[in-house]
Amino acid sequence: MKRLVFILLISVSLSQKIEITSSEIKYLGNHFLHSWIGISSKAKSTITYDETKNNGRVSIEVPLNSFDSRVSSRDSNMLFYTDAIDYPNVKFESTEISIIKDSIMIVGNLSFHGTIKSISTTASLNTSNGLEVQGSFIIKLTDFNIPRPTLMFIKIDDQIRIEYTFESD
Amino acid sequence: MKYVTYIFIFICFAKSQSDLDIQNIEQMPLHTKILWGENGFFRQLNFGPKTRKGELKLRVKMLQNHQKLALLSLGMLAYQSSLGYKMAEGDYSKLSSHRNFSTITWGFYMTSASLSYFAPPAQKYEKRVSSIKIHRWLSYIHFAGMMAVPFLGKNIANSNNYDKALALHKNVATITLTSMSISALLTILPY
Repeated sequence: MKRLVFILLISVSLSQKIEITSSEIKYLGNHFLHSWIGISSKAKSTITYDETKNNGRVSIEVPLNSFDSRVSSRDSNMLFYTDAIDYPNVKFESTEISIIKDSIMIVGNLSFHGTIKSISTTASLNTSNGLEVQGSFIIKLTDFNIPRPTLMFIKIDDQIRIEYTFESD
Repeated sequence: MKYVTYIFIFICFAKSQSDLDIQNIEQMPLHTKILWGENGFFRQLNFGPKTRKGELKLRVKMLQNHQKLALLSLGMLAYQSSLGYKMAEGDYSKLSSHRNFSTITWGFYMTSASLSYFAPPAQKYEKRVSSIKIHRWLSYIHFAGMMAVPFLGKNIANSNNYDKALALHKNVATITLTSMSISALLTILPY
């Protein structure tokens, strides 16, 4: 038991919690008539990094109603189609992180609209001025059982590109 | 301990609910406030879905049907306009078509307008100007136009000044068609 506590204490002291000072998560939607971007800067995130093991843990949660696409009726429709009353947040929990030079390979579970899907993304790591992590990945609305809204009788694209930026001083 | 858990669950639930309150409710259009505001007409009558989720579902359905009927109305109004111009050039064979078609066009337009004006509130409103906001402002112009055009049309036959009455009908109809066309185009803009 003492040995276990000792190992835990050592691992806790070596893993470093990174304070995120600013974040930006974008979703990029597309319809044959136009494309649009919804932006949120209200993600709550916890990032820990263990330098000795070269791995860490990322946990991100963003409220759906914080996304702004510059057209409130579109945001309102998005909240309807994503059932934001029942599932107000999108969550990401990493399961595996590995850092290779200036990039981070992140694998984890994305929880959206009551469905959990495994995703992987490669982010660029910039440490020249504080810490900046930037990356993107693509999700499919149908994978999360989200009906695709229509405009002029034509559905929007199933694929949504997600771009993220996290900064720390 | 059990009570602490209950209180915690209640606080979490209350928090998630308040997070999804209508954003910038003060920016809600006046007609929506009158119908669906806290003391709105439909609220007093206890009319409509019982939950906010149900309201949003109804809103999306109404606006989708509004879109379909509005496009049909626009096509009909354009056809009406071409008939009207032919009549103004002296082709009076189009009179009965112009008169009969006007009732159908007007009916389609008003149904479409009702679906939009009577729709439950959105989840979010904003102060800044967007394509959809201009779409709504233009709707006040073409709605007023659609209310006036049939009377101005009837007025042509009864008026002492035929040319003036015709010009007024024609101008109001043209403004109505133009504002409706711009309004339709705005819905396909990204911002």
